[in-house]
Amino acid sequence: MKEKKRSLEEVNKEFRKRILKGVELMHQLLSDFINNRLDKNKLDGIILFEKKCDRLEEEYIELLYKKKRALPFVVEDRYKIITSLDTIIDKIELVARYLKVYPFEPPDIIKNIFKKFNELFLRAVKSLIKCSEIIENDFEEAYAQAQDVEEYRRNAYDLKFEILEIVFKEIKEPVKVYLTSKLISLIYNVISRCEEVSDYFRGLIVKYPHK
Amino acid sequence: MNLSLILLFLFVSIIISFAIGANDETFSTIYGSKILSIKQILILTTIFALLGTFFLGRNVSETVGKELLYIENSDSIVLTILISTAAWLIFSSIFSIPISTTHATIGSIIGIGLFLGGINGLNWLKILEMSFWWILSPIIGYVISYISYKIISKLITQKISGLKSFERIQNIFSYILLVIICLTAFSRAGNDASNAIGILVGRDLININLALIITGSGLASGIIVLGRRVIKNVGTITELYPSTAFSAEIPTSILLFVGTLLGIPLSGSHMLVASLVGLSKARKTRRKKGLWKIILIWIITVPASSLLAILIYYPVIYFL
Repeated sequence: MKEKKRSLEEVNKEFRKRILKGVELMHQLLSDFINNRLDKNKLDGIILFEKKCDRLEEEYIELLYKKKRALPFVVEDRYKIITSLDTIIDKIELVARYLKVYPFEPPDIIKNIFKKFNELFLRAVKSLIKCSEIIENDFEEAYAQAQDVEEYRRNAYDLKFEILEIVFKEIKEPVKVYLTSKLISLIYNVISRCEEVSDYFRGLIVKYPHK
Repeated sequence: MNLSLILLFLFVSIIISFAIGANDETFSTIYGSKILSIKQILILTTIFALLGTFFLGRNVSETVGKELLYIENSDSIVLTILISTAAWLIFSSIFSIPISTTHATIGSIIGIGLFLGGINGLNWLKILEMSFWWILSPIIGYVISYISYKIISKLITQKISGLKSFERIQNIFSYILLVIICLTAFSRAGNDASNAIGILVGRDLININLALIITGSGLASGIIVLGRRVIKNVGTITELYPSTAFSAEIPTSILLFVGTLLGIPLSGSHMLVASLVGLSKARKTRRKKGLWKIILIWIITVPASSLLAILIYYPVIYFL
């Protein structure tokens, strides 16, 4: 039987759901990593989420441009929204792949700050996804969410340098210093990208006239 | 009448309709607000040019320049006026500049009137009266679109809360705008055609239906070949959404219609360009660079078409 064509909204909803699940899994795996309980095979789950998100993104774009409606600028903006969100899961996948080959246990001296950093990572991505969902119906609330992302990024920036300071001062093995700082930077890049995307959302909200 | 003369009149009629089509900016706000692509616009304009010409173009317009010239209005004068008007329209269309066909026509009349009848060859009072409205047209367009944008945006922004509601409202505006612009294109084609076929039908040179088909095709090919440039140029003067395009286009069209009923010669092209400038001012958005070129062409339209008419007159009487 021929599969029923899904609506734009259904695909978008599933796309967002997959990113959320992906970031939750990543957060969980980072927690396991901090607690020295990481099962590296589970990181493959993130790669699968990323692949699924790519398929959903393609399906969404196809539907977006197939629907010959009379407002291409909204179509263009929706296209940018989904491709921007896809870059988040791409960056999360990069963290997962890196973590898979990272050869050390996390240094004990950074564990507490790393936990906070991990929390900010989860919150930033979750807020961004929520922002992308509510921008459809509520510009004001979406703007507030975008501001939250900015706040998380700022805090993450402080934490990143706190961690790096400890790593550079306390860890003696140069390879471990280099690889750990690289891991922190990759996680921070996800949060930073969230802020960039949220800035784009804020630009959209300002661009469209609303009450 | 010999064949070469019939062919000359036919050629002039095609050139005029081509020139008018080439400077037709009716669909520019549809292009600017991205309601349709240029390809879709060209298909629609061709359809409406042909339909409008065929169904509304039968009322052949009065002799060109009748009210303005104090000299005898011969075939050579009419042909000169029409050719120089068409030449100036094509020239400005090549540079993507929308101009007023009336201005170019009156410029040609002034040129030929001065050349043949001197200072007393023209009804200066009437020309002065018209000039007053030429200056006033863009000012009216600017002010009206500024005010109408403020009112419409106040009304619609209260209803926009997210992307979905924005899309819904803009969709409504885009359909309304599209219907109105199509009707305008339909009636404009009829009006333009009646100007272009006057020289053919008035002399019973060819069958009116054939004349209408030729004129309609001339209009459509003018839009396709050069009109697209004018449409793109005017449509991108400022950033447009269907609702903002509506607030610039519709009050202007209504005023133009009222002006026509009252016999006030307002220029549609000037009003539209000025209303888009007014809109960008009201929205505090960026305007396209190079507007000075449009204003410059507007200013030189009358002297340039006057000069063209003088230059064209002798070749025309040679043929006649």
